[in-house]
Amino acid sequence: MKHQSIQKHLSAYLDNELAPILRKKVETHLRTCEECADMLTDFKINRQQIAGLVHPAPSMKHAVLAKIRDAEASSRSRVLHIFKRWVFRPFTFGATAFSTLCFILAFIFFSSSPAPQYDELLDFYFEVHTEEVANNPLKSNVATPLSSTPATETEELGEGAETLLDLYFDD
Amino acid sequence: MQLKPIFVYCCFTLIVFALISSWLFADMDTLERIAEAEQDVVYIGLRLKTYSTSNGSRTMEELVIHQTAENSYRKIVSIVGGPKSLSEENTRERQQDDNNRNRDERRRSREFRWVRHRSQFSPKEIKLIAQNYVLELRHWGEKIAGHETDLLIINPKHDGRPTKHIYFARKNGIILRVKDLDAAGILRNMYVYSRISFEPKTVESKWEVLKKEINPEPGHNRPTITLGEAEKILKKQPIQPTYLPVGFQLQDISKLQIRKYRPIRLKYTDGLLDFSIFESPDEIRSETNNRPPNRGDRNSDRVVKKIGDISVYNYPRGQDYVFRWSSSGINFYLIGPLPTDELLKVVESIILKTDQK
Repeated sequence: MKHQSIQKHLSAYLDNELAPILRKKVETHLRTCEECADMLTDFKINRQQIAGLVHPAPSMKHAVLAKIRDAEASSRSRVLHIFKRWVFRPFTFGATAFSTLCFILAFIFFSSSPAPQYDELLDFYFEVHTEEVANNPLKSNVATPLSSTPATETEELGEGAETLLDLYFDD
Repeated sequence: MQLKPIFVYCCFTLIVFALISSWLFADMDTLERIAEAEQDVVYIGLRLKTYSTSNGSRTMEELVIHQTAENSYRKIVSIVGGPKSLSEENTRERQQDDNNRNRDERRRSREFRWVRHRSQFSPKEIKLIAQNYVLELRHWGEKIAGHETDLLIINPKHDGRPTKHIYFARKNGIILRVKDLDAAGILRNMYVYSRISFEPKTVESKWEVLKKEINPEPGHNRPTITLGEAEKILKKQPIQPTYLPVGFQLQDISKLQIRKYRPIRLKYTDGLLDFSIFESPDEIRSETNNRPPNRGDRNSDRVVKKIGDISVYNYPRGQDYVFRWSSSGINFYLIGPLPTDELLKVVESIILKTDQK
């Protein structure tokens, strides 16, 4: 019974919370009782281990850095939110899609349009060359007489046409 | 007293010189007056235009309105006959391939639309006409489309050149009829106004109506450039012929663009006739020279002349001749209405020059 009453007060003894008379009694008992002394030792070890588990209070530096990180995250999410709202507005979305399409088409046109073929180039050059004659009545393009045109050209008249011309000239 | 006959002689010579020079330069003044009138006078008219090639003749009716230098347009309103009206039964015509048919369709679609009439009367070219041709002014007096006219004849000084007859309104210098005769004196091209009005109010009111249907085509951007700029485009010095037909000189160099292809044009003129040399980096050769010749391909059935190792292709085209060849990494086209032997001399001089380089 005496052990039990002493062991009840061991925790308070360690915390230095016992009245001086009771404290004296516990100390006297601990000098003679090995079992209670061992229990007190276990209590002390436990206390030390528990004290090791307690987290220290956060330092000022860590607190400030954490605040800054929070502020950055919130401002980033706000900018992202505004950007998303701007991009997904119908007009902006349409304009962005249209300009992207134009860019892609222009890229395809300029990067892959083949060099013109000889026939196309000839048509283009001929148009450039004859444009002025059509516009300028002081120009001419009929130096070569018809009779001196090459055979490849006159052959195209065909026999029927030749006969028709002969008929006119005979008259 | 002894000086008197000398004094009389000097005065007489001066008077004769003044009379001759005024007579000589009067025709040049007429040409300048006509050129200025074509820019400054407002008019609207309907003209009949005809031209003939070895393939047949073509006649068309054309509406012309000239309100300002900017607002000057023409449009074909009807066509009589076709480019091969004398040879419609031609078997080659029936065998025409898709390429040529598409080309003809493209040309026809262009014909019946308003075309900006860019008057290009360069004072330099007028001086060249006066140098290479004889100008002869005749007071003709007959009326065309209700207007009294005079006649300016431009006769060639050199062989193988055309003659031009210009009938112009006596009161304002506007050309009412033009006749182009070839070197053999055969009439080849002509236009004549059947109706024309010079009333500013009439032209203004017609312009107000017509401008709604005129859809101005995008302007061709063909700026003239210097030899240095041409060298940058070609990445080598442009080749100029060492031989030029008599009276011809380089008028200008201009840069062109067809898609990403950037050729340059060297324009040579004697005032009345032009021939052009188009030069571009020879990029299409490698892409097309292995192509099998198509039936109807205009490259496959044309005359080829060999000048050294170079093959020169020759295409008669309308009233002009076209020569195409490639040498020294440059693709050349020569287009002009001069006789083929003259143009071949130009081609040869260029090929010899490129060989030397």
